[in-house]
Amino acid sequence: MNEQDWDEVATTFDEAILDVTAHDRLGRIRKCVQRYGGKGRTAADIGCGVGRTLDLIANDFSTVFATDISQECLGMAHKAMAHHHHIQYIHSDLVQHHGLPYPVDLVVCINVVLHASLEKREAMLRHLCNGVKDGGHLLLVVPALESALYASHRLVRLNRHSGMSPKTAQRKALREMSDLDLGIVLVDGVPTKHHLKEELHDLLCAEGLQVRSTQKIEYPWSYVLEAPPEEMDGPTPWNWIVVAEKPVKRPGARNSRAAT
Amino acid sequence: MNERDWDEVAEYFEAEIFNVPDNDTKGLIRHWVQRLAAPRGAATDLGCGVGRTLPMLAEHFGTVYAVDVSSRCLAIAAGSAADHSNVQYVHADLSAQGNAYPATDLVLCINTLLNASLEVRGPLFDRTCRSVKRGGHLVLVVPSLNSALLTAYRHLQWNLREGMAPADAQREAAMEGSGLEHGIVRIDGVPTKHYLREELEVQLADRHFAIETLEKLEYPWTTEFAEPPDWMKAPYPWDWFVVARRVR
Repeated sequence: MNEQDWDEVATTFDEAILDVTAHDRLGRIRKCVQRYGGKGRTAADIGCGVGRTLDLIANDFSTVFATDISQECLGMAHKAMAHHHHIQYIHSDLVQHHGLPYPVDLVVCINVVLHASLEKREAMLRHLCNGVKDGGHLLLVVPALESALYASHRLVRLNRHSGMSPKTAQRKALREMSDLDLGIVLVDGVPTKHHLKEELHDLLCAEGLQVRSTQKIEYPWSYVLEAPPEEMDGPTPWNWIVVAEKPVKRPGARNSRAAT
Repeated sequence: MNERDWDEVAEYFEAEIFNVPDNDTKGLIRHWVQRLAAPRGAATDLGCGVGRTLPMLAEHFGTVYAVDVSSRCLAIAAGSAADHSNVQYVHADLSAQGNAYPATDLVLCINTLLNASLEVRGPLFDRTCRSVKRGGHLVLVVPSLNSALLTAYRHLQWNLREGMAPADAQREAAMEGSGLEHGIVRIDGVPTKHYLREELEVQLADRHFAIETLEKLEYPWTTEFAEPPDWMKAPYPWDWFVVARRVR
């Protein structure tokens, strides 16, 4: 999706886009924000949309940057967060750059690295990691490929319980997936990158970050299946939430090695 | 694969079929067999093949049932475990028959639940679970779908590092065939069921098993690529290793 697409979504954002922060029942995002927040600390919500997570971040950080590709979304975020005077709004496309005036202590990025294009996604991830200052942290939420596949399994099982033959149950559970082996799943017709846990670790490691934790943010079945039975049990579908740290570069390390 | 296919493989089993116990570098299988050992109890090696794990089971259990669909594989197994008089050999096709052996304290099942057909695999899974006594344990090794996808990702990375254009790199790394959303991956052209962690959790809970451990049984990258490059390190490919207790 490009800037125009996101501008068009802005007015219906709450109905169209899953509210990850609202579904974070275990408060994983809140706990991370509180852990790395404090007086004098800086944070950025990259791809902030209409600003759903900004209130949470603004309560714990002295300076907050809210960036988004959509001017419309930024306008709505600004309006919703008018009571916070320490948020700066920046119109920026993460594929091109992170848009921040300087790297910050905590970069929050929720379901933004979704591009099906490998080149664009690599650029996004690189810019995100560049936006974290040395010793700072990245909080990244992305769709889980494992979850998309697991939902297919549960749908087959549901179909079997309703009396379908194994063949029919599987055929009816076929979802639109293109390049599934590359993690591309169609979400409302839009090719959307889903990540494996191990893939995420590897990508962040390649950008020089150290993964501190990887957990699930779980959602109700109704977000992935049409009319799931009320008694449908867990595990429920999920996104990955990863917290990674950019190590502090040791000053003079290269020089001292050269001297030996 | 049917009985005839396995009979044909028997002679070349060591060369053709990946040796899980030999590649279990952390010793997960041995550790759990020792931990659950019952010198007066019984164990079953379901899909024992040429009997790679039979001596280990025979040392820790009073009676061992070695069950396989291939009579040729069973004959080779009987030869290699000839020193162990407490092993009984059972020729049975788990996908087509009722159990021709009693439920036991421990059932070891290594890469047997692989059939791509849900019609075949469902009853096979049921019979495997029914082979465990109430209160007994199932020790299960199955291919990991997560790992198969990680391998596809590594393949893509390798292509990119070799200088291929992203579109070419992705096309070249694409996995063969359809059915991936149901966990079907082709291994040497054979559609083979691969599992997700959460799928196993649900399947076992459905059959009244409580999982005691569900972890990775890791292998080197040489099991996936003929000559993997030096940079290709952890995370490594893996099978899922599960120990679950039958609660009712």
